[in-house]
Amino acid sequence: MTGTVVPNEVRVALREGPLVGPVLSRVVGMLAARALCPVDRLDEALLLADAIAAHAPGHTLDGTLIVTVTTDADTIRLRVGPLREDGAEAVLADATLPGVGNVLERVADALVTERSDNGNGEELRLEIAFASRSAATPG
Amino acid sequence: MGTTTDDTAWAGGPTVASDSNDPRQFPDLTLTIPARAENVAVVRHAVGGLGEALGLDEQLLSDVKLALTEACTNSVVHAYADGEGSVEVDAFVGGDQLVFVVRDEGHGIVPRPDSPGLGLGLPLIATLTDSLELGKNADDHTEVRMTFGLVSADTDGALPA
Repeated sequence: MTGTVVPNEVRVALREGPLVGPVLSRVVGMLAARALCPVDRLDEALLLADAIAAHAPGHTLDGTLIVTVTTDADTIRLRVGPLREDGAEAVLADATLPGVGNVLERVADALVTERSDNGNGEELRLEIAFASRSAATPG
Repeated sequence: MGTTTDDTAWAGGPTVASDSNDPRQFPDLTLTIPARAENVAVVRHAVGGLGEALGLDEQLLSDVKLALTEACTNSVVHAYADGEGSVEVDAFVGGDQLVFVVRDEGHGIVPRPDSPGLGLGLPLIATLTDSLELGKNADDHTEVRMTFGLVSADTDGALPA
């Protein structure tokens, strides 16, 4: 498949509960595929989505997990939050698995915790970089 | 079926009460997407995840996906003729109902002589849903509110805890 990748941004807000994992992973997977993300990196983006779905809901401000997924021709960015005070570090700590290490840190190419833009709570920002097939394949 | 799809209800639109028939006041899922055709598929996939989580009957899930596709496509095609905008999809799960609200900041649902479509979208949604409401919310945003009776293949109607 070839074509130009148009930057995209989708915001998904999910109340804590059974919808979080299945919905978040599908949104991330769909956007990654649309961005012509190579399958190995798409798989890792899904791993990030699953880890966020598993660990972030307990650290939100009000029981609603908000994830903003942004894609362009060579990057997938996930912005998780607002999270409660120290919530971003708590999500990171929860994502550490015995014998594996920290899933989020190992998979993401960039990972930042910072205040939300509006100063209300914290955000966890993760980035997966890739060279899309449209950019890598001549013609 | 409680539809309000008659032509007279479109222009200017009735105000859709924020709490009308909602199982809950706050949505279980809100998706905000740029109003572009490729993002309609994102909504379909997200609803697929919702159906998986709730163990929805396959036929019901197909109906939900088709109705949402039509409603979101209406927003993409008609809401922002001169520029870009966003479409918001809310899902409320509760009781024996599944309610979806598709919202945009377009001009409302008005007859359009130059419409590129066949004009079958809203009648199709009305056929697929238990009830359909068209109008504007308190913020003057165009809303399509669709209610489906909830039948769960796994739990015989009961929602997961």
